[in-house]
This record gives sequence, C-alpha cells and structure tokens, in this order.
Amino acid sequence: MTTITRSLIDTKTMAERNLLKSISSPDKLIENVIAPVMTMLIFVFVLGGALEETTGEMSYVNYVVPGVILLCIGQCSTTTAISVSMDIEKGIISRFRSMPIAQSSVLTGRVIEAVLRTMFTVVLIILAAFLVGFRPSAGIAGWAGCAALLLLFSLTITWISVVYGLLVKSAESAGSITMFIMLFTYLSSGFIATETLPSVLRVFAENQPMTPIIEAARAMLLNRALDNNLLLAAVWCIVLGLAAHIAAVRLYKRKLWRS
Amino acid sequence: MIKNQTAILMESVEKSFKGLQVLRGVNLSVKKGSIFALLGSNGAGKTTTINILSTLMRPDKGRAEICGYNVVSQPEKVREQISLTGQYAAVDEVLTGRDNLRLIGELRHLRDTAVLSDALLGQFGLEHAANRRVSTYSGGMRRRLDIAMGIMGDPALIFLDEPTTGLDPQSRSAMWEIIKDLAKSGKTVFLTTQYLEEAEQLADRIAIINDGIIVAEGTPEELKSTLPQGVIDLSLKNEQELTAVTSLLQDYSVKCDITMLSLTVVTDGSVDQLADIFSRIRQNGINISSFTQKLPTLEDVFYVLIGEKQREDI
Repeated sequence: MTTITRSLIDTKTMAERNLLKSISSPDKLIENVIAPVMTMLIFVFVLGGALEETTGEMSYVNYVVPGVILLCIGQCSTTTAISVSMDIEKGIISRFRSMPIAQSSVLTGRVIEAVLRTMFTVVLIILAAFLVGFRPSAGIAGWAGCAALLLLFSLTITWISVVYGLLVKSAESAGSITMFIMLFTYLSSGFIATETLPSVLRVFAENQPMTPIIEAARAMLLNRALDNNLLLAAVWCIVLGLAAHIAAVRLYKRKLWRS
Repeated sequence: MIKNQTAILMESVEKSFKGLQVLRGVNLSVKKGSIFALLGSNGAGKTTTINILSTLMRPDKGRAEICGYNVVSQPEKVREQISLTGQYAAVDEVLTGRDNLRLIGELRHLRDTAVLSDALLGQFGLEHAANRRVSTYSGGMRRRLDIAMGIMGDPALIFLDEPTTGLDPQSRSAMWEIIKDLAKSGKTVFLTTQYLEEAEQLADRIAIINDGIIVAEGTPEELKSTLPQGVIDLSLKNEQELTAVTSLLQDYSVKCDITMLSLTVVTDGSVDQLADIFSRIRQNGINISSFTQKLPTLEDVFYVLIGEKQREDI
C-alpha cells in the first residue's frame, strides 16, 4: 500500500469515527443550531427595530444574517476544540500515536468532520433565517461564491480551534474558545454598522478578519458591490488557516513526544 | 540467534522532564512470549518506560528496541509490532463497543472487521453489550474492551499500563485470567503494577523500579529468596521498651515509629523467625501490647532493598 492510499483510507476512517460520534450525541449539534438562532431572534425582533436606522435601505434581518451564520460556524468549531483536547486527556490520541497509521489522519479526519457538520448547521440556520424574513437576492454565482467563502472560513476556524484544543491543559478549558469567537463576531460589522462604534472599537472592528468576511458574504447574498472585501476575506482566511494548520501539525508532534 | 528471541531491549535509557530525572539509566531485556512485570510505586518511572517503548516519547539517552527495531529511528516498524493500553481506558464513550472495535480494525487495514469485532467481543465476554454505548459499561467492561481494541490486528507485543488499578477484586481476577490467556496465545505481555502480589501471580520475570532505576530483577522465585515474605507490626507500651526491642532485633530489617510506639519487623515468613523474635522479647521481660502479621507491601520491599544497598555501600 502506498503512503498516499494509506493516509487517504486512514483519514476517511478518522472522519467516519468523528461523524459517528457527532451523530451519536446530537445535543451538541442542536446547541450549535439553537444558540445562533436565538441570537438571530433577539437581534431581529428585540433590537432590530432600534438598529434598523443604522443599516440604511437594507432590512435589518437581511443585514444581520451573514453575521449570524459566521457566529454559527464559530460555535461549531468550539466542539472541535473540546473534542481534540478530550481525545488527548482520555489517552485516545496516545493509542492512535502508538498505532501504525498515517498520523496526519488524526487531525485531518477531525477537520473534515467539523467542516461537514458545520455546513449542515449552516443550512439549518439559513432555513431558519428565511422563516423570520430573510430575503436574499443572490443569483447562482452569488450563492456559489458565498458557499465557497463560508467553506473556506469554516476550514480556517476549524484549524484554529484544533490548535486551541492542542494548546489548552484540559477539555474543560477548551470551551473558552467561544469567548474569542464571540468577541470577534460581535465586534465586527456583523450586527451593527461599524460607524456607530466608539473610535477605538471602530478601528478594531474595521481591521479584524471577521468584518471583510461578513461584508463579502453579505454583498454576495444581497447582490451588492463587493469592493475589495472578497479578496481581503480570502487572504485573511488562507493566511490564518495555513498558519493554524502548520501550528497544529507541529503541536501534535511535540505534545505527544513529551506528554 | 539470541536477538530474535528478544522482544524488548533497553540499554541505559535516561529521560528527564524540565530538569527532573525520571529515568536514570534503565536496562531491561524481555524474552518473546513471556509476561514481564515492571513493579513500582507512583512516580517511579513505569509509565515513562512504557511511553518510550511505545514510541510516544523519545529517550534523552540510551537505546530502546522492540523486536530489533529502534523506537526512535524506526517508529513505524515498532508500531506494527505493538499495542498500548494506557492507565485509563481509551475508548469512545458515545460509540458502541462494536463500533469502537470496528474502527480500530479499519485503522489497522484489516479485512472483515465486523467478523473480527464479533470474535473479540465473544472472547472478552462483551457480546451482550456489543450494541450498547460504552458510557453504560462498568469499569471492568471498559478495560476489557480497551484490551480487545489493543489486540485487534494481532500485535506481537502488548503493553498494559496498570491494567488492574481501580478495578474491584472480581474484575481484577478476571483481568488476570485475560492476561494469562494472552501469554498462552504466544504474545509477549509487558505490564506495570503497584502490587507485588499481582506481579508474582502473573509474571515470568519481574523488575522492580524505584526512582528511575531498576533495583531488583528476576523470576518470582528468585525474588522470593531475596524479598521479605512477611511483616509483623509490634505495639509497645513506652519508648524505653521500643528502643530495647529495636536493639534486640537489630539483625532484622526493622522500621521504628516513635510517635505510634510501633515497630515493623520484616521476616522471611517462616515460623522459626517468628518464634525467634518473640522468644527474644520474652526473655528480656518485655510485654508486647499487641501485634499483627501481614503481607509485605511494596514500601516494605523497598525498605529492605534500599536498606541492603546502603549496608553494602558502607
């Protein structure tokens, strides 16, 4: 068996293991759908009236859905960080590490499962958004572009959460990645126009990666001008994703030679 | 071809963590098809030894080989020979026993993983729980599943890190039978334990590790002649009598506890020695308030072994 076939088969098995685990404990999955939906409901129905003025001619629900989708993708990756550090804590990674398998499959299988699970929840969120009045005006190209961007973002954030899971001391503390995800999602143009923010926060919000990603997704869904947001979003995702991937592979090796 | 008969070879293996030396030059040799027990208390270096042999850690110094393959330069070859069962059952709680086994079979690229899984479930008495989630299993069942996952794919050498720690007496004796059966089927078993009795029951050879060094090694019979077989605890009335008895028994290994007014005497377990100890005390007109006889613990063994070393050093 060549090294490549071996690593493909092992990656498939690992992804299967993780998918099977996700399906067997759907509570996490439900939580990942419910939390962003609740957020969406609060923003649309409670705060939406007051915030509508800041979003110009766009309806607030149309404005907020891209931010909710990114929040949902972020929430999904929390599960990944927790699972990775749980596997270390319980000695499952040690077992894999002592087996004659393609070692890369342990992390790659994890990422594949996370992206599939995330995409599934994103579809559910978009359906829920339609129910509360989300009316996108994208054509096929807009939808395809948006799907590609969300897939890329999901890959990036998953690799980051893998790194987080490898770094933290216990599975309990791995959940704290949610805090950073919330910080970056809320302090962006996802829920309010950045012009309304105080100057320091505004500088942060306008220059952090979530803003161009949300802007690009919104522009594609609502058929508006993209400016350079898509390019910026893609560059952010690719650079951060690659860096996280390299860090994850190194940490995996180092952690297990030492722990 | 002596080399072909050797499953594990360790030569002067050293390992430190953040300046703390955990292994200080460990030498071991384990014959194929045997059960080898590494006996030691917490923090003696047992798990570190297993981690080095199972390619999880790199030794700082020295050489370690599994079936002739070097653990540092040929980890892939080593991994094909071994299976590791850690101190805590490394099983997926939310999956069924059958799925846990099947996935390991897939990772080992075996054919008919379903058939193999069923066979192992039967062998380990888990067929009735095959389709239940592991989270519903008892501690003993989890360990059995863990070991079944380890031997999926028929590795030649099995590492078991404290396989009976935390198990109730019944599960413990069931585990002993499993380990004996593994050796009967021709596998080499390397296990660690904190219990002298367990090592004596199971192993063909025992090595005792303390503070990162092997302090004794041999067959259970060989060790029996050098290790204590019995321990008596004597309680005395006052300090004077305690000192008097301590000096009467100075040719025995004794441990004196002044606050508790008690004295621990290590014996070879024979009636002659017991009679000797009590007659010496009686002849000097000292009354013992109470005494208990018990099996030596690992601490007693270390006390004797290290005490002898110090006497040799002087």
